[in-house]
Amino acid sequence: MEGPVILLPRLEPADVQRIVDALDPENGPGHIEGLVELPDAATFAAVGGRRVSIDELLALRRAVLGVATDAGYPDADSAEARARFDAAVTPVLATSELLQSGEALRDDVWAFIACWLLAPVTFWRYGASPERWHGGVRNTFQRIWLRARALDRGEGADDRWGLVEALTEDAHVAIVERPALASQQPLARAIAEGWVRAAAAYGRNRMQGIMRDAIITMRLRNEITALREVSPEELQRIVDEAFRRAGDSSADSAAPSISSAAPAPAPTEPQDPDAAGDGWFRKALALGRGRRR
Amino acid sequence: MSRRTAAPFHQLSDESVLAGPWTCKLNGTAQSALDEILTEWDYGASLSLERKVTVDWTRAATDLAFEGPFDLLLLIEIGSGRGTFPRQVIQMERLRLLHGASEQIVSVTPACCRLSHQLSLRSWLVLERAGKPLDVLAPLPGARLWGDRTATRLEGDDPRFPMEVVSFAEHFAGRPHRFAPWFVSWSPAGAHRDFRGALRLYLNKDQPEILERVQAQDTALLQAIMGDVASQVCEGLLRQPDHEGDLREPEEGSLADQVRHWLHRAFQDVDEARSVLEQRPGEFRAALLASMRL
Repeated sequence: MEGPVILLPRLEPADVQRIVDALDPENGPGHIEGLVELPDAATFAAVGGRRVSIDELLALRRAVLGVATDAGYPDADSAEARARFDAAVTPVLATSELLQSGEALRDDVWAFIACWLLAPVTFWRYGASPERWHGGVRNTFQRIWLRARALDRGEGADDRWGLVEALTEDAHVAIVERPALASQQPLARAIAEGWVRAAAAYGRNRMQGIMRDAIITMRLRNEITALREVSPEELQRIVDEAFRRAGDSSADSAAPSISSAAPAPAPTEPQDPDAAGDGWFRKALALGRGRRR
Repeated sequence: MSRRTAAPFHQLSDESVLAGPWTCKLNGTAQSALDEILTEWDYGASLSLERKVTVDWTRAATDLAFEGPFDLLLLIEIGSGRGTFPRQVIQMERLRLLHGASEQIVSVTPACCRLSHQLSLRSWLVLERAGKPLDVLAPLPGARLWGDRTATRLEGDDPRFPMEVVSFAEHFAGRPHRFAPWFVSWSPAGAHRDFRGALRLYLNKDQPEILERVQAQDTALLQAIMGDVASQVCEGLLRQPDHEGDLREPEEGSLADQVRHWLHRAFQDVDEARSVLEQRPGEFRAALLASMRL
């Protein structure tokens, strides 16, 4: 990254909830094209970069509104239109200069984006569902950015965003909402590529259950084997084996084969990790682990 | 080493690995212990970290059931973002430990501009080249043999337990819970999400006597609050058949993982907890409340 970090506005969860509670359930937040003053509740990091300018924010807004309009916003009310939007806005968010620093890992930044910068698009995409406005892995725009980060085939790659477009929403959620896998880009990408192959073999309609089982296998396997360190060919074999076992054991399997490799070792029962805690809830919460009774 | 999953192969004992604590150098200051919070951090800071790692190769060979030489790989995963697991691994460092290598000093220099909320450092010793195996449980290349994790908060603005003090009259105006002393915001749909993102405890600023007692660490009140948090979340997930899988194999750091931990504090296992909840709900609540005694 060149130059100072661009500091973005932040919104706290309580302020987000107020905004969500005040939404008109029929019409949403209204127009934003003329909205150029930041809300009073917005805060910034105290130091460490330069504050984003209004012009920069509005440029991002225009870029997203552009692809949203092409996808059918605000009138189209179909799953197809919304899926088109998700695919089209992916490169906009993934490559935005404003979203290349640690600021883009902050939930309160994405809350600002959903609640102020792009509020009508949030409403068009998901209505008043609170989790789509709050920061987090289900935020309307944060989820797009996270999956772009996880599944980017790389600048210059053929079909750079192909995985983002190919996976179903369930498949995206299965990867992105599991940080043990999503945080490791090569692993997340390998699983997504495996999903595509498995979907071709078993059919997309059957993939929700297959993905759920395959993800558990991959997660447990990664706890005992450094999957990121194996060769790409070996990782592909492991991924395909996980999908094959999941597919073959699914209720109405016809057992098409993706890989004929030997099965991975079965995971064993979890053990207690070490205790941890914090502050005045330390003893009660024990967010790491405490003693079993 | 913190072990969450028992591997189907030999791993290194804690006695075989001497891993010193992380030390850091922030903005040119002298090297010092890495604290729980890096208070002088910002995006423009310069930061370097190091630790010493020594392997007792003789003991390690015994642990792993190897005869002859073997090599290890020291992996450092540098991650950031809120949550038990970092949202993103931003950097990886690798150091080969050839058989018999003496004390190693590993240094990392994370890009501060890419950090947020916390700096997570996970160290792993992974088998790179296996020795001659002496039994069937000798590990294969790629196996994680040892690991630990250190996390330090940045900016100091995020309490570990997700909570917030707000005026309920202002933020929840017109809602039935606006006069409550506290309110737990969560949803069963977030069972597999990171705990800190899936749940938030709000304390009512309009009731200063409650805040004062919390800040004074009134044990009875803290027990009541934690009992309420744990009860409603545990009941919520136990009653939903969709989450049976989440409670059996929860992802580390998820809401379901925390629920499983709470249930194991009060009951033998999840099945016992579910049975008590169904047949004697009062006992269920009381058992959870008792388990929260400070």
